[in-house]
Amino acid sequence: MSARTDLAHIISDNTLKNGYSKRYTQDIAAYLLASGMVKDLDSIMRDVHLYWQQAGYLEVIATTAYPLEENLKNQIKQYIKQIEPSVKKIIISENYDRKIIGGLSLSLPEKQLDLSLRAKLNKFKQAIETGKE
Amino acid sequence: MPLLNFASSSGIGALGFSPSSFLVQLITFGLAYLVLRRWAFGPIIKVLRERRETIDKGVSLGEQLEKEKVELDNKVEEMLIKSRAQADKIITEAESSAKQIIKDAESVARDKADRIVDETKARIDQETIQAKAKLEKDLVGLISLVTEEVIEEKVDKDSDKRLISRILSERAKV
Repeated sequence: MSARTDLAHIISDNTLKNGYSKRYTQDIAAYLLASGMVKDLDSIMRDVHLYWQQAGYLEVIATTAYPLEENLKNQIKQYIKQIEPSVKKIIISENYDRKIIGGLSLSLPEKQLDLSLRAKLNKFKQAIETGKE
Repeated sequence: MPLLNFASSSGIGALGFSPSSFLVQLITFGLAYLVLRRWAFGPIIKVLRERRETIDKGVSLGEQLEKEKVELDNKVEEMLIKSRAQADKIITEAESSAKQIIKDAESVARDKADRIVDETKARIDQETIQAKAKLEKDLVGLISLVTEEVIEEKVDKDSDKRLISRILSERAKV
């Protein structure tokens, strides 16, 4: 096991037990800086999410153009439960980006569901271009 | 001499004929004839003969020359005819060659022109295709840009909420 996966394990265990805290986040950041592992942050967080998922916890990053209301969050959770039945708890992290125009984009540890209008527009553009060829 | 005296009044005497005179004249004539015969006739005849020979020679020479002239004229005519025929042949061949050269040159020029036309057509076709492709690309870009702007304009918070709800419902059914 590498240092990265070890760290990921530690973070996932700790957060599952104690949850998030600003202090803990700062500690992790300081450690990464000191050990020169800042560039591995994305990989570490992916591993953390995987371990969370294995433990039945799933963090979903939902990117929307406007803030999500509670009923929509619940609808998202229901949908995620449908595609990931083994999940015990779903945590939705919100991300706002007007560039997607409308709809939403769901980022899971091993999946990416782009249901935004931006994605549809890009597909439409691609379809026209490939249709010409 | 009664036979010789025929004077004046009758017959031959009336005509002025005198036998003695006649005899003398006859003798004179004879003598003259003999002298001439001895000293004159020969040379004269010789001269006349020579002149005649010369004339005959001249005439035969003239005839010969005439004959040769005719022959020469015929030869010249023959040569002229041959030369004309040769010249006509040369001219015909030259004309034929010139025509062939012109024909070949025209053919080459035509081929070249056709080639140029084909190349130009191909280039035009290629450029048309490229222009079309560019136009289509620009059009697609424009369409997507306009669509994007229209959608951006239309999608507000409420419509986005409804959109998200619909998307999730549809996906849940699948």
